[in-house]
Amino acid sequence: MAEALAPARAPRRGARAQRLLHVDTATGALTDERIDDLPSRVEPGDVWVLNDAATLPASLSGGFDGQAVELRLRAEREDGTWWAVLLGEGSWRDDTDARPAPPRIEVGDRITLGGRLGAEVVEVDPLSARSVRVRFTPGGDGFWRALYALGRPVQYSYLARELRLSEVQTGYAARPWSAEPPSAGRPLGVGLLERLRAAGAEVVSLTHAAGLSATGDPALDARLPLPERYDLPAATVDAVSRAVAERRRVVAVGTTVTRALEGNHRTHGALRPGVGETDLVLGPDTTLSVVDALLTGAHDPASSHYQLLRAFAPERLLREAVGRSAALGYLGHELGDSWLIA
Amino acid sequence: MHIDDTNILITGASRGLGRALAEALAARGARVVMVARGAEPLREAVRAIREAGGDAHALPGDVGAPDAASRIAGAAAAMVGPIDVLIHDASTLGPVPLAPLTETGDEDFERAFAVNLIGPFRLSKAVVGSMVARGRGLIVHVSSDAGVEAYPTWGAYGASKAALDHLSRTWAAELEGSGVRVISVDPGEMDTTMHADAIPDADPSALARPADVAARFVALIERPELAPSGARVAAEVAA
Repeated sequence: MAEALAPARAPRRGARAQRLLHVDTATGALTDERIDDLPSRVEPGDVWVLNDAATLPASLSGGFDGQAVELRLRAEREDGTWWAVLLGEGSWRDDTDARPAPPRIEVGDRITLGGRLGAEVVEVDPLSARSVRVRFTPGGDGFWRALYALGRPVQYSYLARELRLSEVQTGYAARPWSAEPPSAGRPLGVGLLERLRAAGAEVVSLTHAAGLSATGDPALDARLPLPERYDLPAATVDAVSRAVAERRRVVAVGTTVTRALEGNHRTHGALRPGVGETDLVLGPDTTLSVVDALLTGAHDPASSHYQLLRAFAPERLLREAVGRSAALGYLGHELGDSWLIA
Repeated sequence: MHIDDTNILITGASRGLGRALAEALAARGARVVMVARGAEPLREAVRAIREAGGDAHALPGDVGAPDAASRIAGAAAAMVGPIDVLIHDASTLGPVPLAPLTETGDEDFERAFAVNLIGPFRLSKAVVGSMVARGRGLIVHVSSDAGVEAYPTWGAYGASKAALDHLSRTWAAELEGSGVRVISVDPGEMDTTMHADAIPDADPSALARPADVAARFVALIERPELAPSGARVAAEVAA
């Protein structure tokens, strides 16, 4: 019987404290382990794929029309403008869904964000008045300096305290593309990565720009996840394609990795390196062409993420995994414990 | 490591050795992100490199501030991409004229460690994982003779540099086999503002020019056999 998982309300110290439920999709066996045991789950010839996106300080406090607002960055476009979500006043302690609506905003309006940073609205999403595309001034390096001086990482209302930017990064974060953390990789520190390699896994990376998990507007939330940008390096395509051809296992660290690999494969009929965008939404009807196994955070049926996991395991087994995790005291959400669905 | 087409993050880059390193590395085709506390001298240093055709980016920041590392690492990667080489050049002597330990303030001692040791630790930690994941990278700690010899009045600075050398060796030991090289380099005495602050009556003509020392650093970066991971070397070995 499935139950809800209590959220982890603060980062845990050290990967060894994190728990790992091994979910065997062939036998249905559930095994309670530690994340530190992960190297023993490596099979010869495995290719493990990481999302090396660093998490942006995507939340900016500002003002418009005399009211306090929060601008949450969602995705950067190639022309340097950003899709963002505007929230009414309030703080991270309020559930995003309970935040008051932002003031009505139109193309040409300017949001002030502290210091010299401003954002001009250049497009309003017809589906949601709070979904806006903005152009920042200054742009270029000046924008990055201002964003990293003023921005904070997106927070979650269940947290015990505000997370610092350093606390939302994975251990291998390289390119700041993500609006929210690709959290499945949080427990994989440098030492554990090295041990996965020593156990025989080839560890490779791609970059996938994870977007926002909530916008406060049901019309917009219903469309999540929105199309997201990724970059698939040639070396990763080579490693993964060879594994697929030789029927070796491809292990995705997180659903963002799965989305990038399967989305790319679906677009091109085979994996092709380069920057792309995918609108693939994982779910029970997804046929996986590339990825065999998934390392993910533990998620219960109330979370939108849970539906994505149904691409990897039948509903019945996932519900058993939730029930076992809850009984064992596993924690859920962004800072929670892990599942290896293999 | 080839310098052409690499992304290099340098702290303490608005003057002295840090600036000379940024100039030398940009001239060799690297993209350099330059960190320093003073925004105006930093802007000037970046402007000079760009006018010479180099690719340089200004990132004002205080490496001794508690939350600085992830902001510096993130903004730098946003500007140029994942960092391949990290050079910890920023350091502080503390108040000058230098004073013996009995007259060194607790806060000044702590500040020397915050800038010279804890800041580099945090910044390396923010960057090194991406180096390990890609199987390559280089971290350079700029050390000092004062970290080896005990000179009266150099206590806070010297102790922090001795600890920095040890930190460098420990990083190297932990990262053995990862493809990431970690070294510590003693630049020797140079004609810099810092040197003049510490020893005002030194004869500048007897001191090395930062540009010449920077050229030796370039050789150490390019040729691992001169400074293998875990080594503490004098810049002169590349003379």
